[in-house]
Amino acid sequence: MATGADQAVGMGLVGFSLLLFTYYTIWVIILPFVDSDHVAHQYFLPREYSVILPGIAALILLLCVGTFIGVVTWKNRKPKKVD
Amino acid sequence: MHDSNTIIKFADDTMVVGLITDDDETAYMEEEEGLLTSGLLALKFHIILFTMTKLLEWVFGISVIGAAWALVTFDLLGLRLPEAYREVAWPMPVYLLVVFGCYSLATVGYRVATFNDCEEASKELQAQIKEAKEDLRKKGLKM
Repeated sequence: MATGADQAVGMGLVGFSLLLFTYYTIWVIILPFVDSDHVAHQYFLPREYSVILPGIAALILLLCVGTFIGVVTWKNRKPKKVD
Repeated sequence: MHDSNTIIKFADDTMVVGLITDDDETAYMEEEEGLLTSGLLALKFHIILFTMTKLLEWVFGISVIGAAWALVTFDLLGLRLPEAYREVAWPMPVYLLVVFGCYSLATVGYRVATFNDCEEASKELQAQIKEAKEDLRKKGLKM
């Protein structure tokens, strides 16, 4: 079995994704069928944000990946050999 | 054109009826050759169509689902579905992406947590690396 930190990080990821899945599912699929004066609605942002926030998250992810690739490429640049 | 025989072709090129006279089969042979090439072409076309099928399947499937989604979201047929169903439908592509992302994250996390570490093998390997480095340093290789 994996030890200490590995287990913690792994289970952390599982827990986080379960939480995210549950919250998002309730937001997108269950809320429209709940009366608009129910108390649950106050825990969720307006519906537009259910598309805008993942969009922003995807952009940030792309930015991070691009930056990482850029940094690694910059670090590995070698001057051209002179024969 | 050969005078030795008469050839009747049917509209779909599937049959040739010939009257061969004077034992001169040249026209008939030419006709056969033509049919053979077009037959091979048809076979090639069918082979290409079959090798494309997996991709076509996926594209077809996805466009059917996409069309259904667009129909509900933009109300293209003027069906005027209940408001709740339309509210659920329009974020669907983003929702499916998020669910897929969550599933991937959970799978990676779970496999990291349950990975089989081999402590002794790791220690043994590190000892061997140390030994090899010492050996090479003695032989003059700069580390």
